[in-house]
Order: sequence, then structure tokens, then C-alpha cells
Amino acid sequence: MDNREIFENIPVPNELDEVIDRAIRRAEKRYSPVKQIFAAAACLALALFTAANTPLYTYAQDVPVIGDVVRVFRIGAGGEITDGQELGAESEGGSVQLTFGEASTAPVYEVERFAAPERVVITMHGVRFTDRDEVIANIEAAEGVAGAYFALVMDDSMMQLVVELERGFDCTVTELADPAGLKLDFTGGVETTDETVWYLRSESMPRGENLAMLCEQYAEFQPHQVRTVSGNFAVVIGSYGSEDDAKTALAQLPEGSPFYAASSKQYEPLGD
Amino acid sequence: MSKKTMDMREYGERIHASGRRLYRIAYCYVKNEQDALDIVGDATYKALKSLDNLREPDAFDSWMTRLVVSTSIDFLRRRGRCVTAPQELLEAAPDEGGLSGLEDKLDLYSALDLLPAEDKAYVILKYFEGKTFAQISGELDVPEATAKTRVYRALKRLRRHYGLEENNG
Repeated sequence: MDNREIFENIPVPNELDEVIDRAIRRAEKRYSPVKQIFAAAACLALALFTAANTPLYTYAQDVPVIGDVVRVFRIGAGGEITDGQELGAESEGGSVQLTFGEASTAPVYEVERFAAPERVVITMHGVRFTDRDEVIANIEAAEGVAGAYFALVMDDSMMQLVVELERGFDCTVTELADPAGLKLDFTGGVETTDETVWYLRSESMPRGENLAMLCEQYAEFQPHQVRTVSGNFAVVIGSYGSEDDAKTALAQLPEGSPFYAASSKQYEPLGD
Repeated sequence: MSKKTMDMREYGERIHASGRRLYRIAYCYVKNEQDALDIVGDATYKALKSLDNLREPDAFDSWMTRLVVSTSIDFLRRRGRCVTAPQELLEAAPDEGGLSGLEDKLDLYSALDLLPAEDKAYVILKYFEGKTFAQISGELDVPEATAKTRVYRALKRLRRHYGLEENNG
């Protein structure tokens, strides 16, 4: 088979059209005034129904979820601009549901994946806490979660949740509406390859102002705060397949930066 | 229905029409069904949300291709390029190391994993879709010379890789 045939023979899953349709609906959503009225009406209806403790929609999935499934994904961004929604978390078995008060649609969010250690990073805008420790405790109670923490962010309206995965676990995210939610499903049995991942990192430090300031200072390089094996934190930039690539990236940082190239395995916690 | 919604429907149809090709390009990058679907979904969303940036409606298809490519590159960056070279690739080393004709002998589909994310699209368009350098230049919005350089750079890189394999063996 020549290269062209190989390409033409890559099987295309049946879900493709549905995935495209869902993306079109999501994009349309923000431009349709009719939808916004519906959303407001749904919000009101929700307030009435939750008072009577009656779920509006229940979908038959592994764990029944309350709310309308907007989309299912591993990485992605979405949501609508909200202000001051209360973040909560509930867990059951291998699932965690992040809740946003009585909002009908999820706040603006982005879900990213990183390795070494394998983790899901969820950035949310326009949310606030009721009880941070309870949120963390509920997430950590889920099967497949090795640990969870919030990055220290200077911006009050932004929140960055990091969920570390246990070896062999993967995470699928479902965005829900009416009521708003982000449901994280952790599934085991994923083949692990224990690959070495290279990155640029700072020395580890306690969770404090220095950590947040270092992130701000190097904001253009998209730094992340990563918890180390001892419970301290380091600022990490990038993710590379080889030492050469990491060193090339390091050379692009301003001279005298506190970063150095380091590596660890896919599921290994960051060293100090 | 607003003008914007109508535009989105129309361009949405065009994405459906080229969906299988876009999916395959994403798949060549990530070699995983779920991730490739996510990438096509995300690129579709990004495209429709930023239709204002589209200068020429006729250029939509190539603009969409670029979005799928850049979304795939972002994805691989975030994942730390955790893709290993499959064993069959190492076994498929060609007998002679000539640059010309290398693309016929190699299992380029597997070899893609060895290339930097930035170079993959050039090899996909050139050897999987049989496009000319002029077409690649239009599609990826780069000068034709850049398209040529990137393709040859990629082939050279692969040849070097195989050369090393042969020396070791």
C-alpha cells in the first residue's frame, strides 16, 4: 500500500459528524439571542424545580447525571462569561462533578493535559469558592485521582484546578448545562508507557507569593505550577520529547532565568 | 436567523464536507481516535468563532486545514509529544540511503512520529495527498520555498535517523 492509500484508509469513526455538529451548536450558542432567553427561562425553571428537588433531565450513563450534555472531550475550552459562580464538587466512584451554583451554563473554562506527572488542569474564570478544602477533599475521594490542588493565581476571578491521575487512569470531561457542571470521569486500564518527559523548571518553593510572581513574570511562556513530591511547588514551562528540545527551549528564555532543563517519567511526581 | 448564524451553518456544512480529510490529518498527528475527534471539534469551534478573521471566503478550506494543523501541534506540545516510534518503523529501514525515492520505501505514516510537530503537515500534504509545492504553499500560507525546505528537511531528518539505525545494526 502506498502512502496515499494508507492515508485514505485511516478509518473515520461514525461520531465525526456528531462531533462537528456539536462544535457548530456550541459556536452558534453565543450568537443566538433566542437561546439566551431560553437559558434565562431554564435558569428560572431550574430554581423552581430544584426547590422541589426534581431533576430536570437525567441521562442514562454509567453514573446518572443531572443536566443536559453539551459535549464530551479530553482537552478543550468552552463555557460562557459568568460572574462569581460558586464552585463545588461531588464525587461518586470514578466520577467527580464540578458544580457552579445555580448557573445554567458552565463558566469560561479550559481543560488541558500534561504529563510528568500525568495531570488534568482545569482553568475557570468568574468562579469563587464556598469551601476550598471541601472541594479538594471531594475530588481526591474519586477513584483514579492521585491528588488535587489549586494553583496560586493572582487574578481573583480565575481559578486553576490541578487533578493528578493515578497510574493507568485517563480522564474524560463532560460539559453539562441546566444546571451547569463539568463532570470528570476517570477510567482505568489505560496502557502506560512510562516515557521520559523533558521540561524547564524552577527550584521548588513553598506555596506563596514568590511562586505566583515567578509565574506572572514568565507568563508569555505559559508556565504552570506543579506540586513536588514533598508538597512544595515548582514553576514548569513546556513539555519536550528530548533533552535537545528542552535545551533549545531553555535558550529562548531571558538570560539569567531561574529555569533549568529536567526530566521525569510520565506518572512520576515532580522531584524537589 | 441572524447573518452570523447563517454564516456558521454554511461554513459548518463545508466543514462536514471535508470532515473526513480533516480527521485523517489530525489522526496522523495524534494516532488516536478520541484525540483526533477532539481536535476536529475544537478546530471547528475555533473556526466558527473567528469567522471575522477570515479575509477571503474562498480560502476557508485551507484556513480550516491550518486550524486543524495548529490545534494538533498545540495538542502534541501539551502532551509532551508522548509518542513512541513503533517497532515496525525501525524494521522498515530502507536498503539504500538515497534521499530520492525514500518516500516510496518508508512507511511514512509511522515515520511521522519521528518528525517535529511543525514539519508533519508538509509531509502529510505532499506524500499522503499528493499535493504540489505550490498547492502546499497556498494551503499552509507559506512561501513555496518554505514548503520545499520543510519537506526536504523532514526527509533528511528521517534519512539521518535510518542511517544511524543502520550503523548501529
